[in-house]
Amino acid sequence: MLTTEHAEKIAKKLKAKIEKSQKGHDYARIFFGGKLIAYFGIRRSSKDTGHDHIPRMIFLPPHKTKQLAICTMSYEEWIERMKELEKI
Amino acid sequence: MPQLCDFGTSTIDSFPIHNAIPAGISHICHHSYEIVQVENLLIKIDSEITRGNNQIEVLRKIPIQIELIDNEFVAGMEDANIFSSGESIIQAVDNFKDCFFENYLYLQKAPPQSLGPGPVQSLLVMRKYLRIIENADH
Repeated sequence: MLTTEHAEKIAKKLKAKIEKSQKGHDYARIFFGGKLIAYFGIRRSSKDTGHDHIPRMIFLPPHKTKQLAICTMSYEEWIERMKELEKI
Repeated sequence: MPQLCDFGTSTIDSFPIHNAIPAGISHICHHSYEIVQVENLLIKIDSEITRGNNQIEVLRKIPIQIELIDNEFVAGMEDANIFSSGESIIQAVDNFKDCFFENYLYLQKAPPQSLGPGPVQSLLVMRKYLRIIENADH
């Protein structure tokens, strides 16, 4: 399961801007070349909540998403994948 | 045919299927990162909602998929590329609604030239379901 900690690490890795929400979410917005290219919600909770919605929102399979969080996949590799998918 | 669920006025505490599996899902297996079951639902939300200074008209029922992934529910709409997680179906749907409305407002107000291909596609889909009818900022 992808946790809040994973979500925060992914947001940092992808250089996301974090927008605080009045609801139980923050929103991580990822820009490249001045354009918004992806975004996802980060759930705020007293316990470690699941974030298994993130992989599809950043166009990655789950195992690759976890690799982003644990540093075995780089920002540059993700950008390259986004280009391949014509999301940039 | 998608099942119609009226989540418009429900709350997590009051909804009877909190933490339960709805009828129609007959077999659940837990495997990390495998989608083990998919249920198509239509969520009916109040026809108008208010977010901050914005009043949003809900133009039609919003179709979502509910999936169980690694013991978490994920509610989402593939076309709009919007997904949210929750420990129960109701939590996942509530989180999806928040995410759907918040991102619609963000994308709708953003300068078009600041949006990449993915967000542009998302906004086009969201506009089929939502419309800002009043904005106190203007």
